[in-house]
Amino acid sequence: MTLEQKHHESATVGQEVIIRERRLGALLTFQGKGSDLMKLAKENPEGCCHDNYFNQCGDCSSQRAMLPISQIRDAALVNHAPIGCASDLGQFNAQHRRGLRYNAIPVQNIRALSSNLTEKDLIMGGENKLAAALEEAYRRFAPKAIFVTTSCASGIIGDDIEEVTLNAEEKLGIPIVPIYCEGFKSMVWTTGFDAAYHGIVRKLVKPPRERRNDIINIMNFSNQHAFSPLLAKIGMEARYLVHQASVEELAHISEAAATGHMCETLGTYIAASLEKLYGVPELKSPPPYGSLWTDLWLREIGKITGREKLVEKVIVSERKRIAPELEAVRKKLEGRTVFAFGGASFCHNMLALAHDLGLKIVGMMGFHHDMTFDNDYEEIISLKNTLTLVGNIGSYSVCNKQPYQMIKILQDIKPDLVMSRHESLPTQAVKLGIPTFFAADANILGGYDGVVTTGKRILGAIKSRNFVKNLSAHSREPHSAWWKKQKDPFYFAKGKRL
Amino acid sequence: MSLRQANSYKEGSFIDRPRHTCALGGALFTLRALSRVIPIIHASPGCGYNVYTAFNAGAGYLGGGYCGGAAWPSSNVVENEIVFGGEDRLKEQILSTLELMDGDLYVVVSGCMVEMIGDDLLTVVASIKDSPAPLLAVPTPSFKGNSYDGYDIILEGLFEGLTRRQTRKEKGLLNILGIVPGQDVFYRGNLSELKRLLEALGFKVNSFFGDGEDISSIRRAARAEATILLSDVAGQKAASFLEDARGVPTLKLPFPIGAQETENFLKGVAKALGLRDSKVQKLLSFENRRYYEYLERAADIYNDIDLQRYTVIVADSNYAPSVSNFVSEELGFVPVLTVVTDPLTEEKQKEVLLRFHSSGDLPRPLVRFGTQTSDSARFLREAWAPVSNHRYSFTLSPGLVIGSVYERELAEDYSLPLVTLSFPATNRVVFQEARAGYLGGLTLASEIFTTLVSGR
Ligand code: SF4
Repeated sequence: MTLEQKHHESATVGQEVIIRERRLGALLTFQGKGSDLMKLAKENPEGCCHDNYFNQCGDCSSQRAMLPISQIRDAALVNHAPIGCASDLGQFNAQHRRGLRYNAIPVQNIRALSSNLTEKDLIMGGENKLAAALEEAYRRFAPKAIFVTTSCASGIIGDDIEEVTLNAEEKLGIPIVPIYCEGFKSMVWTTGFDAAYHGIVRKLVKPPRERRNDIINIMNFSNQHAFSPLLAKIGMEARYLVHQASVEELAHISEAAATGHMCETLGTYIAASLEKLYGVPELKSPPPYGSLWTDLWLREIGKITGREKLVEKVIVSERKRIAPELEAVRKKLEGRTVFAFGGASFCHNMLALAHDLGLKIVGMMGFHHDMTFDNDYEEIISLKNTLTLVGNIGSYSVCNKQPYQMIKILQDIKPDLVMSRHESLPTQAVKLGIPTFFAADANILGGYDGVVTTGKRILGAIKSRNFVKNLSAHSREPHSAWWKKQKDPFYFAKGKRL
Repeated sequence: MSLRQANSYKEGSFIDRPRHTCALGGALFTLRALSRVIPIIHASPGCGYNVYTAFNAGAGYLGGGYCGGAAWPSSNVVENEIVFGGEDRLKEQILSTLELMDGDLYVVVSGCMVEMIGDDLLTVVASIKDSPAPLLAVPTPSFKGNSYDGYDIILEGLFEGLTRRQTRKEKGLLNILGIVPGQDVFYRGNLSELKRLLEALGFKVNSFFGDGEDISSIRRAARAEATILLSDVAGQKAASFLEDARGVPTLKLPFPIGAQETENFLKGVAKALGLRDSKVQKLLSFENRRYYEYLERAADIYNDIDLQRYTVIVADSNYAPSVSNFVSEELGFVPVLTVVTDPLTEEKQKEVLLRFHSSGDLPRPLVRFGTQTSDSARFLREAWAPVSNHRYSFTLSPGLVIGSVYERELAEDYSLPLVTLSFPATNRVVFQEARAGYLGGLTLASEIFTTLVSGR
């Protein structure tokens, strides 16, 4: 499959989404300057998903697919897998309850079953069991739709999920949405987000009944309504997707004026799908992080919805409104060095914020890199936008969240502070004694207010210096003395180094 | 009221919001609880981090520790290995791990994918001659068992790999098995409390995961005089291995919570190991005195504002009977329904039922076995159906639920307060506190009462 074909295939409603390695030329290992990576993407858009001789454990598509769909409030989820693949349901449950509380929706547990494949099923096939689990999910939760997520095991035994789900759909009379997200199929776990959205678009989204010029889809995680006050100023409403959404709400996301997101890594696949299938435009701008990108984002919304004049006014007044506070924060932060790591494009957002706050960017590490996105718009290439905004990045690496590599890079660069997003990894920086700002809720860092919020939170993080130092002094590092002396963080990379 | 049981768990049926993970998960968290052990996961890319997330959040945020969470070495096999076999990839991963990770022991464990394609961990490990520390392989095929089984499988593997039969035993040395790290949210506190008490009797204790212990405790396991097994389920296999292959007899005792059960526990150990009575009595009188001096404090408020509660308990087979006995006998509560949540065979269920005290005229709960999270609500509905003339048809008030965070809905439905103690307990951060022994019982009592007066 060439990347040209991908544009055709990825946004249509085939059974399953093409993995990111093949669709977006995603790569997992890179070290160089930001500009080198840009150049590479031009010369070699097919990318190359490099592996290492030594790996630490990663994520899988199945987990990433289950997160958003377990949060759809009136659907149920059947994980067709051995029991272990459902391990993080407890975590997702905590997240869902918090999300419901935010949104003043009655709090309830997630509704999820594991089909619990055992040895016998792996020999005899698990289709009957899946059918039974679907009926049970229906009986137990009375859901408006049921999602089925596949697993390595169900993939290998070759269960015909289409057939089982179609039969169940007929019998139960609600949409049954298969999500093909076998962990072993893709080394790039963000493929799981695409798989989840693909299923939603394929089975739940209906053609628009009308066009809502006042509603914008925002793909996000936390469902904090942080973009709403800003959008309200131009007479628009945000529809936060897909966490805590209802099946009915999802059916009509095709009616929005446009689709935006908190990060390209998360949102561009579904944005492209909605654009191709239902003519909902994808915003051709960076997401609203840092003042300048927020300007661009608002202008793009203004252009699409015919609110240009209003937008310009709002930009001026908003910037003026935050100026004093922003100035004060900037003064305190100025000149400190910062290193960012996290999911590829959200890292770019953090750099946009850091830049706006007057921090000195000394490097970043993305957990993968997509050489392109599903829509071929220059304006959404987040790396390009970032380099334009902040200038070249001297130390740019791509690493599949491998602590052994992260630690080396951090030790080498010794930033004053780290900005990060992705649970459990900030610990690595903390163990090195570096104050770390964790972008737990991406939404509240967005828009003009988000810049000030980020600044204040970073100031807070700096104050954790003593706590961090103490932890660092008492934590034991599992890497060998030999590795500590190694110069090259990518010593164990396989094949030609990109 | 008679003990009743109903088996909602059929071997291998689907599971609604599981309260446990797979064998790999149990194995990894057992290894994580050992000091300076480096696991090498041979599995698909997501398995390791997936179970880490489960236990980190569910077990009171116990974190990655020395080598856990995102830092676990893992072969992350993908399609290519599935087609051509993953043994080469595993060998590569082991060799690089030995170079890069610093530990006292390396243990290769496996996920379901690599077992399905027939990779042979043992052969790969046997082909590696040079290792800075012992290197073992223990297949932990995830589809063959749950996390309780994983604990057993890995410990048996470690005992087999690291111990030899010892003709001379070390006087007074005991092993403790049956408390599963992670599944028991308070495992570490529980082990140190029991260890504290046994040491006070003059024993030396291998609890394996306790404060200050390391893998030398595993090595010494075969020299112990006995293994105390605190579960009807977990640790059975590992204990049998020590008994049959290493000549260490097993002493099975109930998992003790509070003064009465702990007293029985200590007496049980003392009797089996031929300890002088006076020594035991001395410890008991000290411990009991302190325990009741504290518990007595609650007596005034207990009676002043009526703190007695109808109690619903949802927990695994270690906790369910012990907590049930504890609230009934030591707090004077009325346990009305106890749901045992780990997957048990019918035979095991019968054993667990015997743990519920049946002496005297104290009220005993209805005991049901349900692995499904929605079972507890169903059982409660059945038991408390507001049918006239039904013997349970009075309101479940004042009441209390003791369970996991999954019981929040149930508690809310009946407007009852909830005390969490079972996995998953995402609403608490647990350090050294215990639920077992004297001190654990006090902590539990204090938490229950605190919850009840928290509105005052
Ligand atoms: S078996 Fe596959 S789907 Fe399940 S957790 Fe592991 S990598 Fe993910």
